[in-house]
Amino acid sequence: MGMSPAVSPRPNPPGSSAPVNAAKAKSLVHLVHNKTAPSPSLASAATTPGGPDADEGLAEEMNDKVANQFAFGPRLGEGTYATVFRGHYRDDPSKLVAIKKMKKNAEWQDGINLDSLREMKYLAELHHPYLIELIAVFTTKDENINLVLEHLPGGELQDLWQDKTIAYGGADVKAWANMLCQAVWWLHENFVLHRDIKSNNIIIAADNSLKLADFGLARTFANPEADMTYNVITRFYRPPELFLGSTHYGGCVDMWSVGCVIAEVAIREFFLPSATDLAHLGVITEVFGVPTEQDWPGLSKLRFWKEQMEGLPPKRPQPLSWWKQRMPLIGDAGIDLVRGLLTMDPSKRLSARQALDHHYWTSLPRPQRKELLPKKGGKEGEKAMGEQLKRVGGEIESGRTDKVARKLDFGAAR
Amino acid sequence: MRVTEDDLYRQSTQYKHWSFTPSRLSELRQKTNAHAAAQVKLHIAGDRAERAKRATREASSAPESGADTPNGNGTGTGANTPTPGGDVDCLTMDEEKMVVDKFCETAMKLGDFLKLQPDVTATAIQFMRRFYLYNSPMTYDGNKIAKTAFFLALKLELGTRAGSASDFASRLPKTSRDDIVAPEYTIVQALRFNFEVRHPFRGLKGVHLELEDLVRGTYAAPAQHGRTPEALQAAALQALEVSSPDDAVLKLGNIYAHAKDILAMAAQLTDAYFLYTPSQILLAAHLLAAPAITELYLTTKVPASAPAYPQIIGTIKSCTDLLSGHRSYSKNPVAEKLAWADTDPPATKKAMKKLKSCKDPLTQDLVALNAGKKRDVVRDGSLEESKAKRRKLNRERAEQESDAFWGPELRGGSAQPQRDGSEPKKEG
Repeated sequence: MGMSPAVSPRPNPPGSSAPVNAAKAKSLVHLVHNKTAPSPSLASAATTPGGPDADEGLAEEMNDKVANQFAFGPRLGEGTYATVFRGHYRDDPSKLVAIKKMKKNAEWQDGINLDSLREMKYLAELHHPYLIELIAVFTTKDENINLVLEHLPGGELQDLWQDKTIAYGGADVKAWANMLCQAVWWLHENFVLHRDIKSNNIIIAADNSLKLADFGLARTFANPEADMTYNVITRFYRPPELFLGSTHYGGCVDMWSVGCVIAEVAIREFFLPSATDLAHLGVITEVFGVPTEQDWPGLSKLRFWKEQMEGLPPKRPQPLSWWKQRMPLIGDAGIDLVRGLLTMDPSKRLSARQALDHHYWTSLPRPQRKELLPKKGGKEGEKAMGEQLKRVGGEIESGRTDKVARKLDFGAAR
Repeated sequence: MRVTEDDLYRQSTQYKHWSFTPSRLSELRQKTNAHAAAQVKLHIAGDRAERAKRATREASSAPESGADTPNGNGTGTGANTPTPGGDVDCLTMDEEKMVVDKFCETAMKLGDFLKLQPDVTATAIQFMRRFYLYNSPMTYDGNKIAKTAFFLALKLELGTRAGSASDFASRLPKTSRDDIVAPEYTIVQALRFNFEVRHPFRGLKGVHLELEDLVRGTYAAPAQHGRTPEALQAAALQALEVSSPDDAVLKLGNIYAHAKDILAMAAQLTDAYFLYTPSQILLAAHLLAAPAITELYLTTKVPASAPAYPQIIGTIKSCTDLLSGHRSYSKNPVAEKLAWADTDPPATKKAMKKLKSCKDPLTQDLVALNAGKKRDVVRDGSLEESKAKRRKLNRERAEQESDAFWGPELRGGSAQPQRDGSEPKKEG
């Protein structure tokens, strides 16, 4: 037993009032008493639901076996939906993990939240060197679900391109872009859409690998008849067809996001920043022109085309010279790849497979060797992992509206 | 790099955690049964002792307090209790399996009643079958588990379109939101947090589309083993006993519907998913619906002369036996629908009756059990374990905050939280 706060000589911590602590201390004493008093009869012990014998079935045993493999370390980040701890294997403290403890939300009327279910569902099935690895899941007695994830101390890709003290070149961008494309290829090969690819959902591992994380919006796209929501993917990375209300799509939506990520790493700023959803199509057409039915067959049948695009004056896309001027870091081949990924018509956009076959990878410079890739310092990066992992679907951080993630829209189909 | 379907399947949790050999499967069921029976006996004995104690207390206090306690009540409870020491007759492993099968049949009817998509029903039923590998029907009531399994399957298959737990509860008789949500943690834990079920339905559709190409003479898969599309078409028409491609397509439609029904019923209500892969199951169903064309189809993938062929066809045939052995299986399942499930075989009836007297008294009220875990309840004067833990956590957090504000206290490890279960712990 730890020391009770009431008997601690220290003043109360800020924000907590004395009576609360006193009450706690009192019940603590109560608890200690009851613990030390031997249980009088088999009957009273056995009829206490939730007591030691109540539900110790094989499933609980199995769960405990998993839970006991890991030890919790210091807290790395805390959000509304999850707290992230550093942890390690009990039998080998040098093997680190991140433990994401999902909070139970009393307001949540529908049981375990959908984003957690999705994250567990997809990460348990998918294993790839460039996807975050879900090592194990266990519950603690208070019914908190704990996700044991890979420990990724390198921070987010976004922090990396934003940190101007870190210098990197074309070979580095190529290595990162390639790892991202491989990760997305694997997802799509497994018929899973990520639907929230962005550079702050990409975390950097100790060996400098990129790891795609946050599967709270993922879903399968194996069933072509199923309707999907167009209200997904963080705005800066959302493809035009979703703004136009498309409800049938495939891997192409993720590929647009991949193009945005590679572009922003290349120019070290957001590639298509906008202030509102409504303004974003304008930002897209500023670069890519206003598409016509000829460029994009079927365009005019999309749900919001009439109100969003029909009356727009014709506009031509930016010429190649504009791209060369904006993205000197990735060269002509890189620009060709990015433009292939950022093709307005989703059916003409490069698939993950096609992206991996692109000549960018085989032209000079060669992709940087992993061990030579630039990275952020240790402590800071680990904290960033905590900040990243603590976020769960629907959570929008105040003051970060520039990269507003997803919307809380439970009415819309996902 | 080429990834085969087999590679993908071997990555799945269904392969890693939910595929068994027959002997391993019954071993696991045996273990679950033995464990649960011991718990049931212990808890029923405890329950009886408690009631007996209460009965004596009430009996002795009744004459003193006089009219305000209805006398009949107390003694009545005592009288209804089976005599202490009488042995509880628990379900055997085989009886448990019959009971679980019955639960799943009822769940299938529920899915039918709620007009849920076949995928949702199938997922819910597989969740139940997985759940009852690690839990006994004596411990957890099938009807309660079914409702939550359905809601979980709905959430996973339909996302936000699943609707709220209250909405779902309102579609069910005598069910509250709490009934739906309370057992959820118990279930997801037994499911080992694996939520993907690989069904054979889409694969069956794939076979069907390929066969249509085959009879039209347009089949162009790589492995045809020297046969031209024309030769294959002729063989396919012969196997289907028709003369024109149009008749063949029509017949294939019926075969597909038949096979799909077998997958929707017999495959769900047997151990098929535990013992076979989705492709083995779907080929078995197709083989049952139309043996000749299925065998021809197989030879377009694996030549009959291949060393693996006998093993492949042997495995599929053993799955065929499993599926056709289920009582839902008939040559004309469409007409039968779920009528077969209206009457239970005598052994199942007996097991269901027996279950009534060997239910674990501690785990019947799942809402209360969950509330006990969730909230701070004091029962029998002792605090919930979880409360103690939460207290400890709160205290720890308060201390951490205090540390941040005042700086750490100069002391030894006295405030170090003790290792207890699997709670967060500061590194030593």
